[in-house]
Amino acid sequence: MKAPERKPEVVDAISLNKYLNGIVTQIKTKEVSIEQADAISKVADKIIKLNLVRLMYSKHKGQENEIDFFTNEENKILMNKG
Amino acid sequence: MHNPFDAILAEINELKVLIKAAPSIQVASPPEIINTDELCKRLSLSEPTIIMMRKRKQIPFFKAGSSVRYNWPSVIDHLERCPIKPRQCVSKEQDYQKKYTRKKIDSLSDSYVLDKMKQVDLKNILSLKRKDIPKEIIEAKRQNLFIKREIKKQK
Repeated sequence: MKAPERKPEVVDAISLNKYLNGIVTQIKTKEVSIEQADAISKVADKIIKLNLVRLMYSKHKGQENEIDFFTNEENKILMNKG
Repeated sequence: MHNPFDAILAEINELKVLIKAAPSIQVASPPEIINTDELCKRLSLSEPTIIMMRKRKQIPFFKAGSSVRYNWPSVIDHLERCPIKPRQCVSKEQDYQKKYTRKKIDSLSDSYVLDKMKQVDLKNILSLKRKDIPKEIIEAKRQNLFIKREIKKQK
């Protein structure tokens, strides 16, 4: 039997925010261990950095491709600014 | 008759010539030992600047046990001899830009970033201002900081 496919919890910036918010509370209640939290924070850091670079790069190139990570509304605002 | 005063005058003249010819003898000023507070008052500087100058070896000092003392004449002598370096004329904007770019590079040090930077000019890629960064990202960073703080606390 195949294991059911898991949908990724973090898809865009809003879901990342929600996820991190949940983890903050879970650390306080000690549902998540320190090591797990440390790993999650590192991964979150990477995601943030990567997407910022993507944004900068697209701005520099003048590409109008929307970045999936940000919501559509945000993307439009950013494109208008640039 | 032989005048004794003539002999004395001749001797005095000889001495005068000798004194003029002799190299000027610098008499070392007597030591005047002071502490840091006194030095702060005399130079009208704050204590941290004195400590900083001490570390840079701009001020001579010595230690009596654990406390630091200064010889006032030698301090003045040393300060007068110290060459004053002309400060590089850098405008405020340039100074700010340097700091800003340094911060950006530090915060984005990653192999991915470096790869991208090779392709694009540094000036353009680092021109992203805080206004341009989406709010969601800023909030995510803040929450990440909270997580790190909690980890530190629990450790």
